[in-house]
Amino acid sequence: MSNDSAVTATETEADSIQPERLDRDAMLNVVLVAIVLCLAVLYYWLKLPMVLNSSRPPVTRHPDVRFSSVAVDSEFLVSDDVMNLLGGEEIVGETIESQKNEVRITNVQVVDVLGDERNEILVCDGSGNQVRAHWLEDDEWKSEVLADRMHIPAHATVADIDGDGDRDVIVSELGDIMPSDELVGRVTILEATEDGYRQRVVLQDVRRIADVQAGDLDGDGDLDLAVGVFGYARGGVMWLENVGALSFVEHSIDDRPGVIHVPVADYDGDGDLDIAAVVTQDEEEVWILENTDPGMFVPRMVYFTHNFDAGGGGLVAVDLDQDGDQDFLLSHGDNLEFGHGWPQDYHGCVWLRNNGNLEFEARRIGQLGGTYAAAVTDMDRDGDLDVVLVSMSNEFKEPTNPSMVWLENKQEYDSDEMWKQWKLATNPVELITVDVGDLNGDGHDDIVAGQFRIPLSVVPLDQPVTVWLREVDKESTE
Amino acid sequence: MKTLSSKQFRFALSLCILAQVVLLTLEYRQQNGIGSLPMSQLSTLESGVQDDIRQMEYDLDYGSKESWIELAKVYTSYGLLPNARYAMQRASEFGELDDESTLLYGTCLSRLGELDEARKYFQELADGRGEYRIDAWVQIGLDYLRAEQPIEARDALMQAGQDSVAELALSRLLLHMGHADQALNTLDSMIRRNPDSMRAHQMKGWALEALDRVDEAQAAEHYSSHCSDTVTIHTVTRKWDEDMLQKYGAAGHLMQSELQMQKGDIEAAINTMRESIKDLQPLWRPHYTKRLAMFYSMNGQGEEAAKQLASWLVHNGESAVLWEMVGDAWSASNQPAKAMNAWFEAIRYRGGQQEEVIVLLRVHQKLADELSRQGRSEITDYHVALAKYEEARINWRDDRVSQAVTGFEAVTVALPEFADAWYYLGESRYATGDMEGARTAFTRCLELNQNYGRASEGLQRLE
Repeated sequence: MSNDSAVTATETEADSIQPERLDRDAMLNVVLVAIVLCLAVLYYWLKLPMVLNSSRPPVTRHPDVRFSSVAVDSEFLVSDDVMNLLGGEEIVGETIESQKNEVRITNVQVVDVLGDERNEILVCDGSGNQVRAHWLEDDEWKSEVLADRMHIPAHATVADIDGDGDRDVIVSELGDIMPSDELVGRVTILEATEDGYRQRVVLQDVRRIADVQAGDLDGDGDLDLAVGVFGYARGGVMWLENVGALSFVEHSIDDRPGVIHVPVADYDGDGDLDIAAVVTQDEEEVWILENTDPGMFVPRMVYFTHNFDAGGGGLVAVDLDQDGDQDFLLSHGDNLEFGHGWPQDYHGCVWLRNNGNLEFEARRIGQLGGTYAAAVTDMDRDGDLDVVLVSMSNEFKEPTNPSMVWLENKQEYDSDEMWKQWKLATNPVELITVDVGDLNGDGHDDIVAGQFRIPLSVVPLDQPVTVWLREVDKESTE
Repeated sequence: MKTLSSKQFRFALSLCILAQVVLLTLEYRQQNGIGSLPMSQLSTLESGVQDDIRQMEYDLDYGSKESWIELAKVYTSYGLLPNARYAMQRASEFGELDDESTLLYGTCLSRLGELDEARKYFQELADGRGEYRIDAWVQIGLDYLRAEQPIEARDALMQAGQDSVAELALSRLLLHMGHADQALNTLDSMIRRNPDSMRAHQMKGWALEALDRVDEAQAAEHYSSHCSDTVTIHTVTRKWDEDMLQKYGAAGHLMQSELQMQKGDIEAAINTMRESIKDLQPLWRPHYTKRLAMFYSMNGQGEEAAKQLASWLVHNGESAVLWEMVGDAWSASNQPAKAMNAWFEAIRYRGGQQEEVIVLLRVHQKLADELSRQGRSEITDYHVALAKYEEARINWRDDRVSQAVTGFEAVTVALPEFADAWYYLGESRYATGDMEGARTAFTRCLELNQNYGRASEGLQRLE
């Protein structure tokens, strides 16, 4: 081996050692950098605040059922008379312009109230103190105030109460939105005349009235009225006997407080009209006031739950299984007494299935936190009745929690399985009332819901009345 | 540019690691463990409360059990329940919780719907001898009711003894279980201690009805219609909520303004109320605006008061009390004509707010005073009589039936055609046991208005 080759060998050896040393240094550097990064991540993780998940079990949208939502606007106007009593435009005009009416829709219905053979939305506005009709005409929403300066209207029923062939509106007035035992409730008839609606108070000096329904309760050929007195700690059910000329004689039937709805129908199939009542203040019960003799009612409890916290929100009479008798849908989820509503497993919809002889079988068919109201329509167009639910308080801090769902009827009426549940909307929230019906004349049911804002919470969208128009064309083309 | 040698680079990294370890140790010690405070979602709360809660979170002493518990209380009362549960978990890591905190932890879990987990905490208290033993049994009983377990609920509520919340819940439960006789015993015991309890008499009526004791049921129901003593139906934790809601955000300013008014510093009270209304944003509540309007009126600033009342009207609509306050504002500004117009509006409108009768009584009195000043005696007498009518209705409502009888009798003399006064006179006389007097009054009422259904029912009751 030559010297050259020896040198070369030594260099080669050095070359082979140096990269190893370099590798070790590099490795050490890499390890140190990794430690720095790990510690940085650990520090960030330590500082990073968790978000506690409050979402409920996810609900998805049905792939073949589509709606487009639209807000139905209305303006709260202060009349000149009222403005003058407050001191005139120069003093309060600017204040009135700058302020906004609280969103407190107490009831919406899809009904032909104006008698023009198309459906309107009949709205009770509990802060504007109005009863209004909204309708769609040439793709524009129009409205008419049927009555204003009312005492917090809770519900309106369309019926020809005076038998003159037109459509009158019977309004139940709470008198106070807050719980109260004061005698502030009223029943007012908006009598349809050629010049509009004439207000006529037919019952007052009673506790808060939540519902009035019409029916010939004494079988004498005219329409009487069933009255649900919510009150607070005291309330009950009354009926008003029609004695002609828009005069009524009141009769007390029951004294349980917290009556929200009093749907009238023949529940026992004996040919006369009975009154049902959902009692929700401390008690959580459904009663049928059985019409035994004309105008004589015997109270019979057909449902109760021990769960005082169920929070009954309303009662809908409907033949859900289409077997020829009237069932009920009962919504559970009103937990407003806490000021903040936390969704509970027992919130949702109970179907009270009519098994005859005033015996009803209760079955939970849907679960939605803060459920307040239900409506019925054939959503998937398969010939049976599905159920739409709206929620008042479904922990809306979590934006994925739905404010409206629908329950798909699989016609498995004897199964204990909940009905398949589909999401319809997450916004607006705090929905208290819902109804369905064809609003754009396309022959398919649309949905309308009313928002009721609680002044203890902020929500992303104040929207008193929202309509979801069915998009049948888009469904058909896909 | 000089670059770092490999050694220098490693030295720098080592220093960096050392610094990070120090920071981590400090952070670990500050948080008293691993995991920082979870982010609370305050978006649904008014701005003032948001600020106060954020400040509490910022000031949180991670090493203090009390600090975690205080935060948990606030979270619970404002419905931030997952956060409340987390805060209570952190508090419990410091060792045993005291009775109040144990009740709070159970309440938080109960409100979250975690009833089995909540019961463990309540049971711990119920098995002890502490201050909250009864409250714990009440909560256990109520949660069993929520879980539809009536037998367990009954047993727990019976353990709560003479607690009015438990007794009412137990009576309701016994009625539903078909034990009306036992419910009646519970209610009678309660009535002995609270003779004017509206709710107890009402439920007693239902128990008697279930036992087919119809006349007694009717008497109990009638009695409950004019006794206004309501025993509380709120558990102790609901009272904690109420206290907490008075403490933060706009409510804090509201309380402060009240103190300023008591000291006679009306200007300061007005300024504080204005701050309070700002703190409420984007929300709005009637009693804040009402109070500010009242302060302006008391300060002789009628126009400013009118602006607040206009804001109230736009937000909530009309009410008798709103129009009364509009009248008061103009009266305070020496504008009697405007004041009278507003007061007339109050009695025309009548409803729309709690305490309607009290408002109407005041308004009729104010109108009578003003009309008297103007020398319009005939109309003055009319409003004096109506004020007396409202006063008698308040006496009837509040179970002062003898005074109600005297009042309604005076009204029927002043306004003999007033059917409502005759009806209430009948009811009041019936309540005092004057059956013949009641019959006369109901009959007179029906002569004036044959469709007066309640008077007919009153007569039927006398048959």
